[in-house]
Parts: sequence; C-alpha cells; structure tokens
Amino acid sequence: MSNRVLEVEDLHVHFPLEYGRVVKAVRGVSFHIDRGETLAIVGESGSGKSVTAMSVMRLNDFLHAKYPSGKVTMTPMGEAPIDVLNESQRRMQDVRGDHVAMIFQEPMTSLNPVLKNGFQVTEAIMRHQALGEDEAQKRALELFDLVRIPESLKRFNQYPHQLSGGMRQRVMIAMALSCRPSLLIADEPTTALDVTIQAQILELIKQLQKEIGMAVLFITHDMGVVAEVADRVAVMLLGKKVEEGPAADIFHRPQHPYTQALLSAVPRLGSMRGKDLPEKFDNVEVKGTFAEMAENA
Amino acid sequence: MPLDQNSAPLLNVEGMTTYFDITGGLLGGVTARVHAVEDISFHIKPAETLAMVGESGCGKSTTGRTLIGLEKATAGKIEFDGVDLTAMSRSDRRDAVTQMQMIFQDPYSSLNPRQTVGTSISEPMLVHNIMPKADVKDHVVGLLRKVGLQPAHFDRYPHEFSGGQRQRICIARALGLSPRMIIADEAVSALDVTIQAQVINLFMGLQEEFGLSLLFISHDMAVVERIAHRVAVMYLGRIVEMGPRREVFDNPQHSYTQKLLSAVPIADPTADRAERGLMVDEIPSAVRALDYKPGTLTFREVSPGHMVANEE
Repeated sequence: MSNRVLEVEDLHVHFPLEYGRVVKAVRGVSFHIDRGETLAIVGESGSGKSVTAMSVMRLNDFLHAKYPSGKVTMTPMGEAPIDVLNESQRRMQDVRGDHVAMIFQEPMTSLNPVLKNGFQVTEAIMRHQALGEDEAQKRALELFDLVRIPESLKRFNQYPHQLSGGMRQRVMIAMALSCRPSLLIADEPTTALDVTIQAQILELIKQLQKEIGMAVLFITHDMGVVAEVADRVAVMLLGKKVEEGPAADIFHRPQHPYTQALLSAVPRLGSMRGKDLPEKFDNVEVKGTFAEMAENA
Repeated sequence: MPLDQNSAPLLNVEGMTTYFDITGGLLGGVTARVHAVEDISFHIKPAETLAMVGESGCGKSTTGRTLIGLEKATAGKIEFDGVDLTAMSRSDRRDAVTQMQMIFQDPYSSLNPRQTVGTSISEPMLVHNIMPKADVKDHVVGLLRKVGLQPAHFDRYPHEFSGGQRQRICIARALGLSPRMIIADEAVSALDVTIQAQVINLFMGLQEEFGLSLLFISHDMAVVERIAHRVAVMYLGRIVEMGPRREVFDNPQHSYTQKLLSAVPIADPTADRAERGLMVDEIPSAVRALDYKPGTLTFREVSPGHMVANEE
C-alpha cells in the first residue's frame, strides 16, 4: 500500500439549503489513486465530479458542505497518512500546496489580475517552503521554464491579462507544481482552451507527471480528453459512481447503460470516413427520464 | 427536402471584410484595426450545412454576426436569395433577414429571464407581423412540439429549464419566422454530450423537414464532421481551406487544417497516437497597424470544390 496516494471510501457530501432541505451532491463514492497514475472522473454537469474533487482538498467547506460519512486518506510521499475530513482547516492550508494542488478550468479567475505572473508563483513558494524572496524568485523562474513558457523572463514580469489562455494555464500549472505535490487535481483544465492549445497542455501535464511522478486526478466531461490522459476511469452519474475500470475496458466494454449512452453520444473524429452525407447520432435518446436513471444509478 | 447540388446558392458572400477600429490617444483617434474577417467568399445552397471552423479569434463568429447585420461589413457583398444585403437600408434589411435567424452559444443569456417561454417565442412573430395575433399561440405550441418540448412549457420561465431545453427554446424561436437559413454560432458547445447529440439530431431533422440552410459555426471538429456537407476552415480572418466535408477531413491540404485535425483528442485509449511533442506556438494577433495592406490569397483546386490557399 506504500504506493497509494489517495484513498476515498464511501464519501458523502451534503449541502444544506433553507428549510432543512439538503442537496446530496455526492452519495457514496469510493476510489483510489496510486503514485504516477492518472484517474479520470467523468460525468455530465451536476454529476458531482467537481464536488468530489473539492472534497479531497476540503474546499467545499467554504460552501458549508457536510460530510455525513466517508473517509478520505491522503498519503504524501514519505509522510504519515492524513485523514483529510477530520483535519483542521489550518492544517489543510498546509496540505493544500504541499501535498495536493489543483488547477481549474478558467485560469483568469484563478490568477490575481493586479499582480505580476512571476510574483504570484513566487508568493506560493514563499508560503509553503522556507525560502527567502530571492531564492523563491529563482525557483519560480525555473518553474516557468519547466512548464515551457517561451521568453520566460519577459512573461515573469507581465500581468495575467497580457498572456493568452494557454500561457495562463501554464502559469497555473507552474504554481501548482511549485511544491512538488504528490497529487495534482485538474478540474476541466483544458475545457476553455482551443484544441491545438489543449493538445499542448495535455502533453505538458503528461510529461511533467513522468518527470515528477505525481498522481493526477483528472476531472472532465470530455471523453476524448479522458482517452488521451487516463489510466483508469470512473464514471459518475447523479452523485454516484456507476462504473470504474481501466480506460481501455471503459471505452471498449462499457457495462452500465449510462456509460454506453455517454460513449455513443461522443462525436468521434473519423467516424464519418468514406461517407458523403451527414448522419444523425444513434442511440442518444436516453431511455427513461433523468430521475428514473437516478433511481437505478 | 434533400440537398440538390445543382440548385442556385441561397447565400452568396463575396470578399466580405469586417474590421474593428481600436481607438486611443488623447483625441480618441483610430490607432489600429482588428482585421477580424479579411476578404472571405463562400456560398450556401438550400438545405445545405456549411460548417465554419477555427480557433478563438479566427473570425468565425464575426462572420456570422456580419451576415445577420449585428456588425457592419467594411467591404464586400452579401447576397441572400439574389439580393445584396449590404446595399439595403436598415429597415429593408430588417425585413429581409427574417428569413435568416441566429442561435447563440449560451441559451440562457439569449432568453429574457422575465418573459415566459411562450412570450419569448411569440415576440418575433408579432414584431414582424407574419400572422394574425390570434393564431400565434397555436403556432408556438406547434413549434414547442417540433423541437421536442411540451405545450405545457408555454407558460414557464427560462430558469425552469435545463441547458439543452433552453437551446431547444431558442431553436423554436428562430423557427417561428419560417427562416430559410439558420446561423448557429457554437450552438451546442455549452451542452453535455448526450444533450449535444440530441440537439444536433434536431438540427438535422429540421433541415430534412424544411430544407433549411445552416451555417454551423464551431470549434469542434468531431461535431462538424458529423453535421456538415461542406467545411470552411478559418485562420486569422481568412478562409484557408474549403470543400466538401469528406474531402477536407480525409485529405486536408493546408498546414493549419492538418494541425487542427491532429490536435483533436481521439476518444479511444488504445488508438495509435502520433507524437505531438511539446509545442508552444500560438495564433498571431489580428491587430494591424493602420497602414497594413493585406495581401491576396491565391487558391488551388485539389478536387472539385475543394479549394486550398497557397502557402508561402
């Protein structure tokens, strides 16, 4: 078990509403990730995939989330396991950054628009590592090179709005990797990017994962992206995991009807080879209502 | 009504150009221009789907917005059903474009949150006075059914619907004026895949039924491959490759088309993947100095109808 970075057992996440009503966003999800491995959690809007990821960092607490049951154990390289759901937020502030880092869909909302790119990465290094400003700055600049930002010194001294979306996401990745985390959570990191830039960022994440040996939890709705990055895939529907397995099995032998419907709705490049006229999708009218599917999920 | 390859084009665009001025300085003079769309020409036939593809900033949305009159063309001709729209007065143009309707990416921001769905769909019909007021409601109910919604949805508000249902409402509203052409600007990009597939099927079904022409603006090559008869690839405001969908996808000629296609993720983990390497190149800016003179592109015809811009 020394290779296990993250173990999530029977996680439940509830968000209380007014008048005692509750949104049960995650309803009993279990999974694990080992060192150097990429697990992709896929699902459509509202399936609970982002809430699951946020629970691993305890970021849902700021939305008053309750964890009625479940256990999240994180085991950073060479350190004692951390019982995430029972740690204080003060301790979690160190865990976030030291051991687990996250990149989000829209890098512009994650970067401070009035601070220079380089300073934002430097600041993160100073917060988490006992380094002086000069040394932290040097380290930050190395990270800019690590994530292959061209003309890194010039970009270092610019503001986020002067960068393109792809370059901003590189800055976010530099920041995330600054403390060499054991686990990187990537929540739709390429959804807002153009395909050619998306291909660059996916390649970069894969490369860095090899260099650093971290585990990656990849959250996405895009089955194409899943196929590019994932070793294993967990499919979520309405707060539950309906299917999990090695990527090749999920794509070639999906068992759950929802996974099958999801895959048949994915437009695949090359599916129309040799055909002159457009064609409709088959098998996309999902049987029954969403509520019925929830019952069976 | 199937596509007839010999029919005359419904829309014919020649040399369309759209610039945006960038003002600045003490007196607010024009300091530079964004060359959003640069001298593009294309046509669409009745019952045909032309897909306009490219990445952010390539000018594909500006093309759609200029066609329908939301932006003013700097130069060029836009002929719809044989009439040049750019030469028309505003009011004439407003009548002419009832036959051309647009659907946008985010259905929530294109519906008035304080109007019921029924009111939203009825409004264009009342404004353009296309049928007696008493008949409008029945017509709207018919449209709701056509796009896969229920008559009971007439009195509901947009927030009560999911993203896919909202997009269906926008489609019903566009159909209300019995258009001959629909411009769909990233109309399925914000939807989950299962819903996206259903909405794409809806577009294709409506095209079969009414012989609609469709300008389908999208960045998603896999969706485009499914829906398009012909494809135009845009890069930095210009069309660099255009032709029948099968030709462009099976035999891409321009280096940008090839790059775009090879970047699309393959939804199969066991597929052979070409080594992409760690690229960092980005699309250059379309902001140009005032004295910039765009060169003219020359095209070569690879196969019938498949045009490719020559690269230096």
